[in-house]
Amino acid sequence: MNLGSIVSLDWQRSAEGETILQHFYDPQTTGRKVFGVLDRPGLPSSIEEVSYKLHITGRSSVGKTATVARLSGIKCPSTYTETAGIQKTNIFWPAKIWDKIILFKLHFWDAGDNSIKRFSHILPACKDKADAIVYVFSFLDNNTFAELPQQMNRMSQTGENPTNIVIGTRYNPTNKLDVSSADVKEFELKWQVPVLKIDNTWSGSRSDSEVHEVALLLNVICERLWMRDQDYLLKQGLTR
Amino acid sequence: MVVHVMCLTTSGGLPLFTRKRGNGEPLPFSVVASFNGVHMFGKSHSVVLRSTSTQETVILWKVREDSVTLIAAACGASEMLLDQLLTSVFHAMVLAVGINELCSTRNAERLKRELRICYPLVDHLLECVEATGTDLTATCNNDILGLVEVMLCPENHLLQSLVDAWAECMDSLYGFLLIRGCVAVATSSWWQLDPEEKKLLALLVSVKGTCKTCDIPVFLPCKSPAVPFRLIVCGLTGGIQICALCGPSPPLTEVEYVSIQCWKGAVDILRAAERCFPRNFPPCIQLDSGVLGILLVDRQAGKFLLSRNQCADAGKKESQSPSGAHRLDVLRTFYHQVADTFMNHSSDNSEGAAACEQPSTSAALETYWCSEYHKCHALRHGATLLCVLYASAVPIHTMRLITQRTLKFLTADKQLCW
Repeated sequence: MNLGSIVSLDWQRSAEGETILQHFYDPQTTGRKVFGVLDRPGLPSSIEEVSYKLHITGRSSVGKTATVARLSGIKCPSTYTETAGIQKTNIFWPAKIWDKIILFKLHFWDAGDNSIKRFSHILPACKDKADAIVYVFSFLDNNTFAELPQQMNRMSQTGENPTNIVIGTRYNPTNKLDVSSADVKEFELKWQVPVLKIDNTWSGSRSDSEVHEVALLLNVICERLWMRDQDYLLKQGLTR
Repeated sequence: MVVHVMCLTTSGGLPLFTRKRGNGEPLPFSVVASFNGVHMFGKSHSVVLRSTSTQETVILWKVREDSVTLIAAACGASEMLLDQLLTSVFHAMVLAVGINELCSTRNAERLKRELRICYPLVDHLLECVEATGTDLTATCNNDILGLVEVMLCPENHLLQSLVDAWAECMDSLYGFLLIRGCVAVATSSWWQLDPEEKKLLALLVSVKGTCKTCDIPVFLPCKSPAVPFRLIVCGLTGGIQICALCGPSPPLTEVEYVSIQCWKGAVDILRAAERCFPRNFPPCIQLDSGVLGILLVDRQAGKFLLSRNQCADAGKKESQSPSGAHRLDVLRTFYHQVADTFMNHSSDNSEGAAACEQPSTSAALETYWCSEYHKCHALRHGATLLCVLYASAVPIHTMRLITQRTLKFLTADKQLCW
């Protein structure tokens, strides 16, 4: 597991990256632009677009919705609200793979825990044809971390072989973390999955620092999805 | 000003939730328990405690379905408004969990957990009552309970056919288009829903935030309290969302795909329509410069239009006149305190809803207020009520003429689809 071997992890800070990112800001709010289903960033059409479905899962109130909001550049309310039903957010993210710029369209499928339990159609809709499953735990609650292997075993029983991504929320050096970094390292090695860290409270006042705070996470997510595709193509080639 | 709402199980007095809005301390548990206790004490002596008031605060009790007790406490709000608030809060609870879940409170802990999803909606309803919000920039501060806010865009007649066609693709009778949280157009069946249902559905979508695709199970408090529908929402562009009530199909992926097909040719129309915000009626309708704001209400259809009359030269005069948010607040207060009380009795009497109020002989057609800084005038025509906020310089007799003309401008134009 060698992060950054395919996707350039700090490309967004380069001059070229900054120029491309300008298309993702909203000139009126100076924050990131939110895109409806009819919108697309105003990039040259020569840039290839790839689309992936990600299902975000984890225990109730662990910070799934806040994580998606943070990744899409939206300030989410500081008080906890339970998500009703399915909430799907599309995030556009440009990434540099080898020497090519690729526009990733990430469809994040997020669902409230109570809705999943009560209505049987919600979980299958989220899992159906997912390219990745994003497991979320909280750095302040070791139970949510200890549950991960069990959750991953349960989820991986679907046939489509999605790639796994793990995100730990409430990662803030000022907090007293309940999950030790040694445990995280061990988990990463055992499962061959990177554990990404995020703090969903809003720290940066300037809009562009917000992007750079989450750039690493989005780049790693894109890399995992890209690698999964390459593996798939390789296997297809062998069986032919 | 502060508003509290508490919800307890009627049988055991177990608290299900408490919410509050405005500046004020949360109520201590002992106070909540006393509120419930005094109500229960009355009940055991066959006395129904409806409401009480102190110098600042009004407290109101309501038991629904013999299973949940709702209590509202607020300063600066009328009893009528709180009554409406508790009705809406109960409907929001039904919308989230269904009537069967609320009627069988055997498992209070589970119900408590399930009710968490209606908090954003309940908080929003509280904001409708708590007028002088902590945050003046909040867009939702000028909302009216039980009525859905609409927007009269010049493009509405074009959008109407698009919404009808899209809803058909979704296999749904109930489709509606929201622009910045206001209903621009909707299918005719959607307008047939109960005003409370329309209000809560529109509110639920606007608290979700724009530019997301959602699939939310909802129970309709009047039409279908026990069997859920799927409320599907698709953020098209900017602050515009297309929504529908569906059955088990189509799946969410298809919703998004079909929506793109249906609407990709109409992006320019949608963007043009969005520019109507925050005036909410077309720029081609020029109102008298003495008009500072308007509130147009149709209680039968359960909708309202709220606008400050922003003219091109308004910027210069802004300093002398009440600020935008304040204007809307004055209008809303005028509506609640005078127009709504005086002028809506005729429609309510048939349902016996106003039975507890003073028996009114007939509903008034016109009324006005004069203060040092501005004047308000309300005119009723059938089910439609127009309240206008004027600059104080406008003479009383002219108000009447301008209101009559404004009402005609806004309601007669077929393209606006009022």
